[in-house]
Amino acid sequence: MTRLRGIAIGLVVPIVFFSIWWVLSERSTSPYFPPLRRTLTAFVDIWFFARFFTDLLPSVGHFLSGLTLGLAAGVVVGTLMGLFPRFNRDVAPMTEFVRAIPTAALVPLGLILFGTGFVMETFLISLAVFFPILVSTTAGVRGVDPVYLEVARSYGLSFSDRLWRVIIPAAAPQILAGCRVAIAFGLAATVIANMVASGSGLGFFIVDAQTSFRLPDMWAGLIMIGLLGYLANTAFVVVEHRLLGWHRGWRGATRAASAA
Amino acid sequence: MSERRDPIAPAGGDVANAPVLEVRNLGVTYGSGSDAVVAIRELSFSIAPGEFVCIVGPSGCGKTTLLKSIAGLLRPTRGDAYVAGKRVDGPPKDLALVFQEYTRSLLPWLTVGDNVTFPLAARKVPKSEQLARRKAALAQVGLPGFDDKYPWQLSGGMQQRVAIARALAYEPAVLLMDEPFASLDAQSRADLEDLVLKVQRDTGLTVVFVTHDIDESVYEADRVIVLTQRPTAIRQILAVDLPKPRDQITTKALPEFVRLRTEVLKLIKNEPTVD
Repeated sequence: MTRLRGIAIGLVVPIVFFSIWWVLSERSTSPYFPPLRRTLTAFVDIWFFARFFTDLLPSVGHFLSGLTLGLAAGVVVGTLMGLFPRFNRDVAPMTEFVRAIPTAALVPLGLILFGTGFVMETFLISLAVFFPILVSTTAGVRGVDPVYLEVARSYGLSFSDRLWRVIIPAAAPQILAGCRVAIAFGLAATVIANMVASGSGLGFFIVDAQTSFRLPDMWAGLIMIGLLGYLANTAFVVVEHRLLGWHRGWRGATRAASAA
Repeated sequence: MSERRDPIAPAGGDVANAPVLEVRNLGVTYGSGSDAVVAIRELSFSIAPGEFVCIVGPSGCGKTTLLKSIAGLLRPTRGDAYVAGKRVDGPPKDLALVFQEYTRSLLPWLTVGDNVTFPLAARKVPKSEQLARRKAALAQVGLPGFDDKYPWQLSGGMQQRVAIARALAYEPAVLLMDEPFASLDAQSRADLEDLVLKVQRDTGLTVVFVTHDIDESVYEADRVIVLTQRPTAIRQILAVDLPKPRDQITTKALPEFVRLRTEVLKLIKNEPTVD
């Protein structure tokens, strides 16, 4: 009930925003700001029909495969870096170095290595996703309360039991916080990869629409990207809610205790 | 119970009552060379099955170091500990440890029930037996039906009860407690002291209880081991022959209780004693 109300309230602002946009743009004759009615017509034509298979689906597919790959690699390497300080010390300078390079600057490298297409885009997206999740996983694993580990050890838990039953759950809040950032980075990388280096996809579509002066199409592309980001984040929040219900309660309780 | 016994040997030291916990010439030195700090010089004692032994000493005297060596969390530099006849080289299966930091020793992502059973789950104890032990253990500590709560929804005293239930469900031969009530309020503390005494009486469990509270040590124990300042050795072992079951009001009013607590206090403050 309260959840439904939360969703309803969350929808109010977008509805108001789009209504105002609709009304203000209705009589617009500016080619740069076409009436929202035309943009939405284009939106439906493009994303539900003309470009669904050629642009939308490939972009979403690349995004999801890059995201999966990057998250998996980031969690694995980050866990190792968190568990083994020596490994962390050896590897950290390298990861810090590569992390500093913006995704866009890596497009030429991706092109040389993989040409255009699925592999290159997945590479770029997974790289963009990899670093935020790596950093937060490392911090999360290193930050596990030593008392938890001592309890686990005193009860004779094996290393793998300690990892799966204690370390990963204890680090989960930080790992998931990293996921949230990673999703945003991944979406940005998807658009950049499309824009600079392919003949299809969401990013390409926007640039193409702009250069060929199909401005309602460009607007429709922007709305689609916003929508995708919104959906990705909503899906994430649902997952987080299920996994970290305990964390909100625990944080509330510890905060109340330290305030008392 | 009233007869005087040799305080060094465990209660009733015959062959059938082989010690369940034995510490032989145990010493711990941190670091090496000129930086070496001798935390424990040398300790030897043994504890019989079913005994309740308190370990007290001046603050910073290496009580926790001793406890960690017994629990297999720290390798002693010299000597050994034996639990149920087996030399300790890693956490012994027959021992459960209750930590002082109850808020941090329970896992906040697990419910009370799952906190109690997670050591059992890792040991692949069958599900049905896990549930049976969890039910019994939570009932023993006075928290029946709290299975689905989260630990952080409970008060400090209740959280420490859950930690005790977890230790009981593990069915150890020795229950090791590291200043378990030090950060509780006075009322919860008294309640839990009585709870542990009752559980010990009902189960016949061997309890080794480290505390810095002298009254608590005398109130709980069959024997009190008093340690010296660092480098730690045994100052003295006292037999406590106070009648059982003990009671917070009547036991603590007994002249014998007062005598014992004064003696322990003098031993800790390193003053000469009547003995």
